[in-house]
Amino acid sequence: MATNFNDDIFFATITELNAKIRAKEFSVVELTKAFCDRLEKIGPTYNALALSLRKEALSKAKDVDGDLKRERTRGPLQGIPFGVKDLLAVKGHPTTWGAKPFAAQKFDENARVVDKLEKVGAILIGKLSMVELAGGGGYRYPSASLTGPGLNPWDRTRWSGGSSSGSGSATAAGLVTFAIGSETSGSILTPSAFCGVTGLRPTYGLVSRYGAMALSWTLDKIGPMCRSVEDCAIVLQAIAGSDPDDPGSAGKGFAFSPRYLRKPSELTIGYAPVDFEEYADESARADLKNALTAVKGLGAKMVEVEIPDFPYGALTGTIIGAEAASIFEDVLRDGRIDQLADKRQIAGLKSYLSISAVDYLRAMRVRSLVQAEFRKLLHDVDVLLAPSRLAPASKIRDRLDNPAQRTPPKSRGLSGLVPAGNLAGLPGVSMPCGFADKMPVGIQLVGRPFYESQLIAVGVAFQKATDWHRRRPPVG
Amino acid sequence: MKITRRKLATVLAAVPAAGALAVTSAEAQERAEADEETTHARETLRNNLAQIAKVKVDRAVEPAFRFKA
Repeated sequence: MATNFNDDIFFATITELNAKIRAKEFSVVELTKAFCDRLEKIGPTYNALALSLRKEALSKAKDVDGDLKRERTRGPLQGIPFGVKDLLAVKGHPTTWGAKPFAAQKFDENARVVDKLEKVGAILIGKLSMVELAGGGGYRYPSASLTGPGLNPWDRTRWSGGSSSGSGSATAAGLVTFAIGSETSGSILTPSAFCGVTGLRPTYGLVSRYGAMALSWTLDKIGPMCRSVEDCAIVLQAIAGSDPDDPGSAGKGFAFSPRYLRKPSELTIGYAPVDFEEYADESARADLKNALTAVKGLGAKMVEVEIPDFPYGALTGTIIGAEAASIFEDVLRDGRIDQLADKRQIAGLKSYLSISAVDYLRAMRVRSLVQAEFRKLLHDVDVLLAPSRLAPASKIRDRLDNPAQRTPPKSRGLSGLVPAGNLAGLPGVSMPCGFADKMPVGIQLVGRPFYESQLIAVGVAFQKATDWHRRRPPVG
Repeated sequence: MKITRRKLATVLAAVPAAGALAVTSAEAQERAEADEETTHARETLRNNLAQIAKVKVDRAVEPAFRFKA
């Protein structure tokens, strides 16, 4: 049976695609082949593809077709094609971490999230590009990657965001139904916002990082990038859970029960008008304000809040720096670090070797204060709402350290919520909410540790009321 | 145009010198960029530590070790 796959299939959600698979509209082998063709053909045009896994994917697809024939169902991810950021190990294949010094690196077992997804029948079709070493040294240009700059499917002259660049652009362009990314400080939420997809950063410790590149032991998280909040919840359910092989594992799982999601009207959402009216780039204000209005329309109790006063950027910089210097000490000392593409990244990583134990411990003690203040803030507020990024994706050739100089507003609002949320280990969701200069913009929801279900409740309701997550870039 | 052997020898002799000049110039530019980035990285680190130093931390506050969200 030859099936003609159209864009509705490539841009379908997990639930929609799973319904078609179970209705036997096409086989999983046919679907996998169509997605592999598309990923291999279009992926390189966005510098999104690190490695195609066609052969293994088709073999697994055949097994899944066999299971379905015998009515062995394994849940909503059975037969769904996905990709993973190239910092996750896939047995016997190169895992480059997006960096030249590791271009030939191979591992002899899969990352835990890969095993978990394959166990429920999802089909891994490729590894997706990333910023070299997840950008831990700070980088000046989007070209800081072994595969070149991540290009945005909405406009190839713009950046896809980092460091989960390929995960963002491949999901946005319908090259995979979902992707796995990672976040140390913004690497899921940023490409999700820039590419117009929905990304979920889980609570620290909820998803095992076994088999993932370590950049910062106390900040790294693995999470899904999908077409909707509901899809993120489905994937999170599959990848969350205790893992004795991950020292940071919290020993908790996550169950997605749509029926038992709380109603937004039962929740309190904290926000700061100044984020939408002054901090946001002028081009993004109209749609961000409309999104705020749409969230208010969900019936939640809205209260104005302000982020606790801490130097969040300095804290993440110091903590990532000290931990990354220890993790990559060998390549820093033997000179292989000089093979990286971005000179700022090289210099940044080298400079981290001079962070003293006292400096690091001071940052970690201040981090304890950050956590305590966020516990207080989230005592009376269930969810925090803010723009994911204040402006749309920049041009590929623009420097990333050259933001427009403006007089900062008098109130802090919730500015710095991305590093702050990461420091406190809080879960976050970024959802598309409109456009600025024809590029996607998004809003983020942040909640208490292990309360992903409340973010999902608000996110699902928002996406029922809007259709921004359904917009497709002009691909192909 | 008639090219004499002397002119040809002069041109050929100049080629490697020009090449070497270009390489030297590119190397110098690269070195200058690297120096600029090193200075930037050190300043960033210093600024970060200075900002963190301004936060008052009670002696009893322990670092967020055995980090749990």
